[in-house]
Amino acid sequence: MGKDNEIIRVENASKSFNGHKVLNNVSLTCEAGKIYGIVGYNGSGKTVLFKSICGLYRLDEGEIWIGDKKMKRDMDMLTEAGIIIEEPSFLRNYSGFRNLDFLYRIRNGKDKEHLYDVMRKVGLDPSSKKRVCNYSLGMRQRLAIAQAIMEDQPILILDEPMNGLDKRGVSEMRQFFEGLKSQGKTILMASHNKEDIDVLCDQVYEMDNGVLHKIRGGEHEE
Amino acid sequence: MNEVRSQIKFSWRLFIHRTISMRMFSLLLLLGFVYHIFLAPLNSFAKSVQYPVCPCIFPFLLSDIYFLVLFMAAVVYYYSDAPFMKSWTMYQVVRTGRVRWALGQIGTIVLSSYIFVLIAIGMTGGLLLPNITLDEGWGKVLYTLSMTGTSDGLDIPFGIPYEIISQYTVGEAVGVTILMSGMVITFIGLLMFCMSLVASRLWANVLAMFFVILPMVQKNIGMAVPQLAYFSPVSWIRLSEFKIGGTGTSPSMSYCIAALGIICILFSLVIIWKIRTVDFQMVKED
Repeated sequence: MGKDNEIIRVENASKSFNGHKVLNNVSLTCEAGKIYGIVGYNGSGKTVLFKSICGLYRLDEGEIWIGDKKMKRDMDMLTEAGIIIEEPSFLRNYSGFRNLDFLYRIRNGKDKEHLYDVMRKVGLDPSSKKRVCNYSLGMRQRLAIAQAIMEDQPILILDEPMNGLDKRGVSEMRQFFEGLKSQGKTILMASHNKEDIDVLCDQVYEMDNGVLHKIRGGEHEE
Repeated sequence: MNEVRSQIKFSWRLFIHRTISMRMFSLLLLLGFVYHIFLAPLNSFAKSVQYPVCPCIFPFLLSDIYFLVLFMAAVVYYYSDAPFMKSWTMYQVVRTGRVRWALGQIGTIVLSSYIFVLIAIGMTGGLLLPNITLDEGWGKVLYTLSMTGTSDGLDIPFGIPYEIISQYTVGEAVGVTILMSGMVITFIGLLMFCMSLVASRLWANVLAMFFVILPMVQKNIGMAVPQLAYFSPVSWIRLSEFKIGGTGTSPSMSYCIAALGIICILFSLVIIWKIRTVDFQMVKED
């Protein structure tokens, strides 16, 4: 592996679906305590890259390293990350709290107070009995952010985390992500919003037809 | 030890979610409707002769080939969402890892198969209320119907095979039915999970329906091809067909249990092997 503070390394990753190459020889390195942004049109391959890093998709070629562990050989899924990928989807008939509790207790004991705190942090009312099917898109997005951060993971993989949030929500979340970065978390995010990327990210990449180009930041700024 | 406990807890919580769901609710509604068609004439007969009926009717219902096919088709519907990769499960998988998630689904299939059988048995008793009795073994109504074979004349759409009444006590018949039905439903669930990973959801449904319909084929050509009984797991639910100790043409109970056990273990191994390499293609579906 490379440097000590490298937390994610994608090497020459390629992935095809039905003969169509969605990732084409993609390489990316992420260091701890930085925010990485990926921009690109719909269908350019951002989500497939994120899913591959998470372990939800298997690469046709290339390797993914998380620290010194190789995906598929040493780990079958990136379990040390908080993720939001695609439109946030939850158990529709459960309340926000019950959804978080269901997921949190997969690896932890019951901790109502902690989950209440997390929900308050993202601007949701933890005592609300409102079912997720009655949530607005913005509320579901906040809930998705809550589930991504509730286990205090060192890596966050966020696909369009600001989707559906109002102006105030976006501003709150930007501050929140800045705070997470200062705690040493590594954040990899995709966004259509140029301002989010400009304000938050240390390095910015563009995904175009499955090919990843660096467009700002890092040692070899273009 | 903690890993095992945590795995059991995860399976249990998945099972609770799967049991208290629209899918289960619609399935029970459908089953209630089918039960009503099958049980209403028996209920009327019990009322008219003023004798209560033994509520353990389920083994007799399963011995009717048409009920059996309807019941098992409902089971195929219940598992038709295999391989269970719905969009909301993504947040589970990234927490559990692939293998643990698959083990959770396998555990859920086993648990929900048995709970489904218990609910189905409970519903038969419920639909016969208040004309039921638990005091007299099989009771006069079922004895009379099995001895005289008058079900057809009374428009009762299923037979009361005398073999069941003569070979089993009520407790034995219900116990063996729970054991075998649970295993066969587990077999169908694991088959569908396995096939949906190895081939596709369509193939999983087609193959499961093939096994569901096989008892009908067996009924029609079983005399010519008696060996078919050994390859038709769904038929093994029928107490009237299946013999303790076995006969020349029927598989024995130990054969059925061993065969189902081995097949279910094989399916589980294939699922765990395959889950390591598949892409998790989540579908937006409740």
